[in-house]
Amino acid sequence: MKAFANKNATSIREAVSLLAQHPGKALPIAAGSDLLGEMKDGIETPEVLVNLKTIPGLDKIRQQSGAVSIGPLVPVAEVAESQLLHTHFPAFVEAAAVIASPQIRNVGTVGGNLCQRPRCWYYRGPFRCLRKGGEFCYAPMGENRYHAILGGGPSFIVHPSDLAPALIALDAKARISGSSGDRTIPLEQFFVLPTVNVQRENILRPDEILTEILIPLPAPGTRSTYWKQMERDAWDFALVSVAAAIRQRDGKVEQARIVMGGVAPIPWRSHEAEAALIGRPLDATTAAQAGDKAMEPAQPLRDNAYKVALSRAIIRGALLRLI
Amino acid sequence: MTIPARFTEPADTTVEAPPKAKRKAAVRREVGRSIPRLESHAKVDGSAEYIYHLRLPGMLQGKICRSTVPHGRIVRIDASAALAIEGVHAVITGEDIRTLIPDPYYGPAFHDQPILAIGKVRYVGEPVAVVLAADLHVAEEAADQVVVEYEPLEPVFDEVAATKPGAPIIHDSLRPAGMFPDLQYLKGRSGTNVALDARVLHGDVEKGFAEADQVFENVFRSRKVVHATFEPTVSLAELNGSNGLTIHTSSQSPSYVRAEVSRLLGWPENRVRVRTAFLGGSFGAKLYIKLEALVAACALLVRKPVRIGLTMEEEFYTITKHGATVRIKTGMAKDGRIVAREVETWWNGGAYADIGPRVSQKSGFTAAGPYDIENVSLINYAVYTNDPPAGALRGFGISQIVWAYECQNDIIARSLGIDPLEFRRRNILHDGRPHATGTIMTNAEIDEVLDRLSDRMHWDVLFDHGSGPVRRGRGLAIGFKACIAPTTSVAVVNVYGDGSCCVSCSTVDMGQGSDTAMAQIAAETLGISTETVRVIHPDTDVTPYDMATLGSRSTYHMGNAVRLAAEDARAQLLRIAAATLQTDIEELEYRDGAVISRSGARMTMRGLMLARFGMQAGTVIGMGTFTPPYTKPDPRTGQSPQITPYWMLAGAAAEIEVDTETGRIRVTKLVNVGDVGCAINPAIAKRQLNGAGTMQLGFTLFEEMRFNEGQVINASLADYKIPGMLDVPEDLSAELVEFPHEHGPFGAKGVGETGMFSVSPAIANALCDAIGVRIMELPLTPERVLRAIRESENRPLESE
Ligand SMILES: Cc1cc2nc3c(=O)[nH]c(=O)nc-3n(C[C@H](O)[C@H](O)[C@H](O)COP(=O)(O)OP(=O)(O)OC[C@H]3O[C@@H](n4cnc5c(N)ncnc54)[C@H](O)[C@@H]3O)c2cc1C
Repeated sequence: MKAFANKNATSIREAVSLLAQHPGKALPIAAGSDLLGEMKDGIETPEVLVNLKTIPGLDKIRQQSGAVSIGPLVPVAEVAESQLLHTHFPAFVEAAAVIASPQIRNVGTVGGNLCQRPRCWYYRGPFRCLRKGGEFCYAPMGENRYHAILGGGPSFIVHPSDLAPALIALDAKARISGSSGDRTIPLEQFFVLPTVNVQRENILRPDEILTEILIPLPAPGTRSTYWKQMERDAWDFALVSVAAAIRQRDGKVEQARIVMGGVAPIPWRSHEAEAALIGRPLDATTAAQAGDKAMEPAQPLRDNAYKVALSRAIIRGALLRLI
Repeated sequence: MTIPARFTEPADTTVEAPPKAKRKAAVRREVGRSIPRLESHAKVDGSAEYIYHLRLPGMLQGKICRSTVPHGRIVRIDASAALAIEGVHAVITGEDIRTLIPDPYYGPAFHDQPILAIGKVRYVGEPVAVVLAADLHVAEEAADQVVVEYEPLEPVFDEVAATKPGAPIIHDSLRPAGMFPDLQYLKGRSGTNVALDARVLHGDVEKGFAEADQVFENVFRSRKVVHATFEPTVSLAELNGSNGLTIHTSSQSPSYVRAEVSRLLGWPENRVRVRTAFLGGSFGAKLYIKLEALVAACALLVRKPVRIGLTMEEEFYTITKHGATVRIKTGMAKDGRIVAREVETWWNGGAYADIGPRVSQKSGFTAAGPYDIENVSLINYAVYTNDPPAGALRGFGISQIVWAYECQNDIIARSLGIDPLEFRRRNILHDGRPHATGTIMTNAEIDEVLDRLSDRMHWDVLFDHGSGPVRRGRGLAIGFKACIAPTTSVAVVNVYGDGSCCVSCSTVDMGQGSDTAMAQIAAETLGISTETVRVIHPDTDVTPYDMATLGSRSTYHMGNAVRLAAEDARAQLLRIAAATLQTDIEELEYRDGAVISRSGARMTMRGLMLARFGMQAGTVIGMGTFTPPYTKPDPRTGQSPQITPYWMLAGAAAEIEVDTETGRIRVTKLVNVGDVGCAINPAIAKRQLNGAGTMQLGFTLFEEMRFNEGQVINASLADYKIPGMLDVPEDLSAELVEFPHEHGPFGAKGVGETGMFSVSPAIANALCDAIGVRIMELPLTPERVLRAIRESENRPLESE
């Protein structure tokens, strides 16, 4: 690992100004469970780390009127154990509970989880790939069984976060602070496809950090769930996952948000699946149709066609849980 | 041409095995007790010694700069940028090593592996240079700055393709090492990637096939996997006086390291001292030479202590398990008896032979399975490829072979409509019958293993396969291994003036509990309690020769040596007492630190010491050496009347659930039965079976190294998936079959690898039982399972 300077920020303002002082050479660090790994592997070589953990107040879960606010430094484990969150947002809590291992959940933060970098083995390994400023993405011609079936090209990474699909399904918003001010956007718009930026997964500028997640309290009759398919039962990223939030009235689906993890370079919202449900009863037939519709645009690579079949199965499975 | 006698003997030769009842164990105090491991506390409180933690004063840390191409000529190495970094002490290359060691090639089978690459590289990850610095981070940074220019050569990765005419040749010529007697048949070769082709011929396989009612032929493959030990490989070397060298290393084979480093340096063995401590797991990864020759050369070149400790990623570049392609052809008689079997195996040995030829030959000769088959032909090719080197991994090739024959046996049984258990019963090789090598099976409790499996699985009870998307299945498999031969273990038991005692031996406790087992054997023999015995860890200046801690050989070989050493010490003490008390030695017994005579006379340790040394101090040293008999197999036919000191029989059975929509297998029950002769410590022996079973579960369901043009792409524990606690079957159990082996210490045989053998085919057979789908390549990932399901339904995934 290259030597670096550590700067403990004491406020959001200080953090963003430290980042702005070292353009392109500084990175924010929360618990470091992802970033330190990247630095050890020589993928990131920041000269300055701006420590967010020393900023007071960013590690709180707060109930507000009409929404719950999550600080970016809230540990994943706290989400998994929160009664308040469980009452309103089962998908979020279920997603948190199946992340990595107890140790990583204890240290890793919500903000870090949303901003974590891809796990693609070409990106993490000794390959100068597109995402690291190289000439091309190795996945289309290489070992691509874990890669994207949707939204891929020119890079075929999949977004690794479990929290992101759940939060997007729950219509969460993200507050971003930078040296030129704050903005609040739907979390769905936080993530960007490789066609927009092939080296980053989100819209954050180098001097910006995520400072709050806001989840609106769901309308009555809303149910949500998260289903994650892994190769092994612990300490594994999703092969494919799905977060579904459904509101039903009079036996018909009134609102549906279906967001997948592990299938695309961003958390993948399937408007096709949602459309297949709206105005119809939620049952085995419509659940299966939603899965089929979601996969219509899929374009598997050589080795990952199984993810298409898997996605259909778990979309259906997750929806059936919500009947 | 002479044909060995055994080869021509009629197939019905039988030899009387001692009746089982007579082989029942005697009453014992220490052996057979499930004593907690002696080092348990030290491992929990952190005081247990591991070499990875060792730091020496004035030490330099080395970081290896590794090849980035799978096959190529080194055009140029430019270390100037690395040397310019502040804090870099030196950059060492293969040419520097040559100034110290003119012929720097090592290896237990062939002298094919250079300490650092010379002229050519043969796999991605091969060590090309080492940067030395006091600060490891500086060394790491500088290692990135060493510029190596290669002229790429065509690589070959597939073990079958590498044997074909026209394949790129990886080694221009091969020089056999000649160190181990069982490898002395290796020949110098050139112009081929086949390091060894070992054959076993028994009966007439062509005739067998011609007479068979039905012939089955399949190809089974397993991929490369790694040991994933939690303590990565580490070695340190320091100068010892004016002309010696001390190597501290996480090695399973300290005696071998001393001999091989001495040979490389051209020194007498007594100038090289090799010591080890506890190993944080090993499983075959830390055998023979790994980093020892490199740190030794570096320390001698810079005249300072040098440490090289690998990262987890580097472990993937150092040693792996063999990938294997097994073609198996079996001729069946209508009544369900196997009449002929031909097995051809290609072992992917990677770029350097390491111990691959032994893996190929030793596992290869068991490739027909523990079955009584009149006509057998076994061919094994140890093949060089441009993958990282492959060597020993817990089971030494056996699990790749059992994967083939036990899957195929199920295919045959199903096709003939015979219950899989019954199919095995009809064909097993009973005690007294000749194995395909001509060696007679003895002390091999395969019937008992099958019985226990059947009991544990309630095999005769109808099984519910479930309905809906999640189906259930069950399967079983048996396997066996011949313990390595010929090898030697030497032990010293030192009884001190106060009656306490130490066992000195070069068996390495790498987590398997050998310290406790050796202490139990010494304690039993000396009539003292195990907890009071201390086992001295391997230090070649102090502990005597041992071939190595490998192949489940230590309990049997070193256990016998310790028993003999303790008996020797006891005999000496009894002789002192007999002379003093003027009684017959038969009248005396030594226990709890005193000699007691039948007439009631008693001599304490104090008295014994006074009698022997004239004062109340001294030491009585017992020595034991154990080398079981062995007859080299005929190189043409593989026949030998005595190919192994003992057979290790094993069986596993599994119940699984498979989700037909996701392809995910969940093993709900796993039973592992091992024929252990006698369990010196039953709790540890069972843990060995369960531990091995869980390790093989990982190789069955999750683990495989993936490559991109020779570069490992999942060289981290995030991407290379070993099982976690939640993946361990809810119902995991082990059972010991105990009929004492007539020559084992207190009847014991080895157990370290036994639990690996049968797990993979048991799970694959259960999968087939559940959904009728047969997968012939490991691991059984959701992707592969789903793919197979969809193919069987004629809806291939590619239609998605
Ligand atoms: C072995 C392993 C297994 C894992 N398995 C899973 C899994 O199954 N599912 C899953 O979802 N995740 C998984 N993770 C990821 C894990 O959840 C994240 O590492 C963790 O949540 C990151 O939090 P952190 O505080 O440690 O982030 P850090 O490592 O400190 O930061 C991660 C990244 O986010 C940036 N960052 C952090 N906070 C902010 C902020 N407030 N604003 C802007 N940028 C920020 C950093 O610059 C860095 O690039 C796994 C990680 C590991 C190491």
